[in-house]
Amino acid sequence: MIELTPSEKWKKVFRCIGGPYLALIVLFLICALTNDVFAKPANLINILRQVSYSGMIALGMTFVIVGGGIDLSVGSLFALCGVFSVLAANHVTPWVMQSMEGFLPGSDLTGFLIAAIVSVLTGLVGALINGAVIVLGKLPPFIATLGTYSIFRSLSLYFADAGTLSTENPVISDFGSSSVFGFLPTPAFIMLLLTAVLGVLLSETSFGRHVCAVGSNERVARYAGIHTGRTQFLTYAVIGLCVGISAFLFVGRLSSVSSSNAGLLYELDAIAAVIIGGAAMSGGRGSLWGTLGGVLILGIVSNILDMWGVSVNLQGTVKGLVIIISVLIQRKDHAS
Amino acid sequence: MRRRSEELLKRLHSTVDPEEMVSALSVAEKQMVEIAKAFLEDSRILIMDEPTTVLNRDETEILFGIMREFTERCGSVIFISHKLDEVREICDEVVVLRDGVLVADRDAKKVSSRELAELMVGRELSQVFPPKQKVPEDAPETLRVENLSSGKAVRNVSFVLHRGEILGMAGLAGAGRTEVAETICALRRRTGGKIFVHGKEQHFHCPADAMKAGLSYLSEDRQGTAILTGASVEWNTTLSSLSRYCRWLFIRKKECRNAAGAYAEKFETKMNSTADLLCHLSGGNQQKVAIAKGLDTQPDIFIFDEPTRGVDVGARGDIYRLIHELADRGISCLLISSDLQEIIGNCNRVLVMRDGCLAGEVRDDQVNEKEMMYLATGVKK
Repeated sequence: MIELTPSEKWKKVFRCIGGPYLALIVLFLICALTNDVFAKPANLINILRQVSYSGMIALGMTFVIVGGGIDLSVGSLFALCGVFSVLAANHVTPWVMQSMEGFLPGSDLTGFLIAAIVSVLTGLVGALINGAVIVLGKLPPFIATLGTYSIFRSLSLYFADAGTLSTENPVISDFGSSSVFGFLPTPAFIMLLLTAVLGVLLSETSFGRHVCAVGSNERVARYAGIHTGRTQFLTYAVIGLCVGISAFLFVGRLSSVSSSNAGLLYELDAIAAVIIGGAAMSGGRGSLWGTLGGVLILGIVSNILDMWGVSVNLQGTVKGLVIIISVLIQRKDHAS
Repeated sequence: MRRRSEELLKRLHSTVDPEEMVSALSVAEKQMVEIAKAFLEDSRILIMDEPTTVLNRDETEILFGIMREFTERCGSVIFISHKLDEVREICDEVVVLRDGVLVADRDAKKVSSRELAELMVGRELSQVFPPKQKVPEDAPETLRVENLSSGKAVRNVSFVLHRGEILGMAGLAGAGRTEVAETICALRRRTGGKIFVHGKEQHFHCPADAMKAGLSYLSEDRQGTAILTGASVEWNTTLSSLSRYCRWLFIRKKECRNAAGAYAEKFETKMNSTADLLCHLSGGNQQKVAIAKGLDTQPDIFIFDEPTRGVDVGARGDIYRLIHELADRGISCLLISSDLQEIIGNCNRVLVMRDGCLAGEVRDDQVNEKEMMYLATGVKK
């Protein structure tokens, strides 16, 4: 047996997560050199905050894609989580306060907890419906989640009367705009935390390895005695959790949620970030840190285009080019 | 277009309907379509890589007829094969490659199979098959199958497997041998019958249950169902037994690496490190990893389905030795194979399948090609 030399080891590490980060550094330098404001801490923090909502979803999407699936419904589910969360904060809280008087902390804190729980639960239940349709109903993930994409959006429009719901709860809004360590916005912090936790889950645990096995060849996984259905189901649970958390933080940021606009096209941003992060669309390969790199690249690109004064209408073109070029580069990497 | 394909298939004596979807065909029929496609293009040189692996004797004869016709029309064929008798039968000249180097160039009509095999292995072939060991009469039963059925593919199959035995299972392609193994391991729905492991009736709901009960299955479709070609040796070796390497939720990667390394050393798997991807290994070495994966679940019963398909002669000997070693250690082996020589060389008792049913059982001196073919084709009931 030949041990890997250090340089080979580094090459492997680079191939696993380095690609997106190399691009990120180059991009960062270009932006910093061409624009004075870009590299200022306030702007960088701003970028982190902006990308964190769809970024968290991209982290969950990594699990789904590595497991050989896809989830198109996350943007709609995001809106539904937000809508239910606000509704619960506004309407369920008084009722709970009344029925359990004396046992609970202040009504604002209770409302905050209820909104958080409802948002996360909605995300979980929605994603588990996806999982059930895909695993038990044996529908292709693309079709199943295309269906729920429509269902979740229409439900959120229905429950919010197609309008915007807002909450007056100060604890929720304080939390949404709070910072950790005095400078890092809470959503960005949670995104980084999730990256680390889910990263360990994917690469260090048997569940993570089963996800990779199912994604690269479901039949081999089944013959190896892996519960393929359960594994796929759990990848949807992971993304549901991410959507729920993200939606709640989003509600906190704005103290409101628009049933028609919240989470719009987040599914595409999330998928794009996963792909830029080096995951294989066919499943079996991908990393959370890679995805985080993809999220940051997309965030920086849209930020610098704003700075340069490029028309908002053209920004999609640039984003599209970034996706295509990054995949072209990666394919060359793997062919060699 | 339809007429053209019909003509071509007819020349191959294939009964395939040109309008049929290829996915609905058997492996052998698919191969015939593939061959028809190759002849369709007006090529002068045809390279055929293991074209006969999945064909039976008759189909092979037909293919050879067409190849001869093709060469008479000034075409040339490069025929890549592991089947040495076929090489001697159909080829004019034969070259032997070993580890990427051309080691010999011989007249195919004058060279013996034995000489070819020795050239391929690079050492004298003392014996491909290890000596057969007789299982004592009173060896305990490990697996008993009663009236096993699965739709039309498997019908009322009953047999007993003893501790330390290498039980053969022969039959023509499509006779339902793989299906029997898959039904036992809960990879296919069981529609009837009972399975006893160590005398206890078992109701496996999923493949993992069968594994827990001590069954391991090496499938015939290596790339499709046995190994992850895009993953490392380490990954593949521990794929089925990963929970043993976990503390809490976390995989102890060093132990995985050591285990994979130990198997590789024992099986003489040729690779650089346990981090090598399986797609960079040869068929024989891939097979050794697949066997290591099955063994790592610590089975009492190991079902080998075509363990040497697409495996070179050297690795083939290694695999036979390994099977015998397992049997010596008390593991019961069921050896499913289309290669009758392989069955004859390894087994004292052989089940013969035909059309999803057990056509009969041969043992000891009856284990020869004639008896088994009679049963497999239904000449003798």
